[in-house]
Amino acid sequence: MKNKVFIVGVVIVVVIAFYCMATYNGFVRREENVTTAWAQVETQYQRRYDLVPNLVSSVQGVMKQETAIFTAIANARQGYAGARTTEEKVAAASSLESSLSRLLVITENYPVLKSSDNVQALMAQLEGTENRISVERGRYNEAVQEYNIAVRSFPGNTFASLFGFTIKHMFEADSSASSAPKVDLSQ
Amino acid sequence: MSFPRPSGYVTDQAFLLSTSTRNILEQRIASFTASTTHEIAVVTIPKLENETIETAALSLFEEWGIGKKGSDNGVLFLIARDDRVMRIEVGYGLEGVLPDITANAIIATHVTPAFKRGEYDKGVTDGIDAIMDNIKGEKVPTPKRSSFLGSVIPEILHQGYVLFIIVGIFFIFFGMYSMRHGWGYFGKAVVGFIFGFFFGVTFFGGMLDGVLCGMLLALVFSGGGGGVSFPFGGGGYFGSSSGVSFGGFGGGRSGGGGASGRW
Repeated sequence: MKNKVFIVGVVIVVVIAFYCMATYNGFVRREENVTTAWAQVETQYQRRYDLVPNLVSSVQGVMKQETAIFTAIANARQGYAGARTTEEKVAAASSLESSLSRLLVITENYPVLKSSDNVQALMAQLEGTENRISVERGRYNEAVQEYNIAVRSFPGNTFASLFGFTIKHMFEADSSASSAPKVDLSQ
Repeated sequence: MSFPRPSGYVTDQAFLLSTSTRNILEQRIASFTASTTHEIAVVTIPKLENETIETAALSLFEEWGIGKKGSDNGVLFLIARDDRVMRIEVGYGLEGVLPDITANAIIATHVTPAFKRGEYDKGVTDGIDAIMDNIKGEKVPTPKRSSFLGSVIPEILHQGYVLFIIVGIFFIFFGMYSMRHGWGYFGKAVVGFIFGFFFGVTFFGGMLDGVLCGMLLALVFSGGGGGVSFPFGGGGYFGSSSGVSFGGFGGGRSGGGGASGRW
């Protein structure tokens, strides 16, 4: 009888140990997914960052008087280059995004640019990059969501705080919407 | 927007293509896929539902998994008839040979002019030919010989409920076995399953691994195995493509590469 109790005890301990390991590894795996997804976002940010000088130099000649927008783009680009933390990068990237989309709107006023193959090619690349960014951001959010649900739901949450897994932040749902060009018709 | 299961490489929901073009395209893509492993899907829809062509293309791409898994060598050509907008969505693996500029140029030179004249057959055919021209040179690493465990079972798992049915059948089977041989077997099997499940989840990381390990250990623990035949194991569930050459897409992914255009 004592023997049986002992065996049952061992079984319970082993099961709990397995459970802890499984939970921990689950957190690690999900956190790794988030890291990978973020790396994808950064790859696309970098791609845009590299694309901007080409685009600017190809349209600048025609759009001489639009100095404000080019200054804004240069500043935003510099800001991204200087950004270190994730939050800084996100902020810098979204200000680059908003100044770029303003540039795209202004470009519409220059038919010369619209007929230039070079500019059209760059625009296609830029559009493609913007689309990739939104895709990878969406996937990043999905990865974060999966991670956060694991970290916050019971009973995993007790282990999460024990092992130091804290919730991560998603991109704001309106991050792309808020940076969309604003057209003020009152003026 | 919900999409039907693909019935072939060409899905002409908007009835833009003639029957003969549809058949020719279907055959051409099928033989192209056979020789290169690249997968191309042509889809026409009547109109978009409150979404951009980009998001529609992405969600369709994700749902169908165009291109081989791991190689991501798929291309989707999506056309929304009433919105007069189209998109070439390129899988991760083909972004190098079909960059956005090229996709853009294909739309601008081959597709848009024909579409403007109302020649949808010609526009789609020329567009697909141009896409094939660009990607045919790309060699994709031949996927590893997929094992039963590696390919078929994840597919089952993908439809989560099937998993529970299998586990259920497994234990019903054990229950029947136990009725004949004493209930001790059943208890041991349950303990073995629980052990194996946690073991599998811990060391291999997935529910599926857990279930497999669980079943294995259940067998070991119950001292069974002798005369135990698994109630599943290949056949039946898969390969029911009933003679059609199209066997579904391979689970490829896209990261938003490609280009869109209007006409």
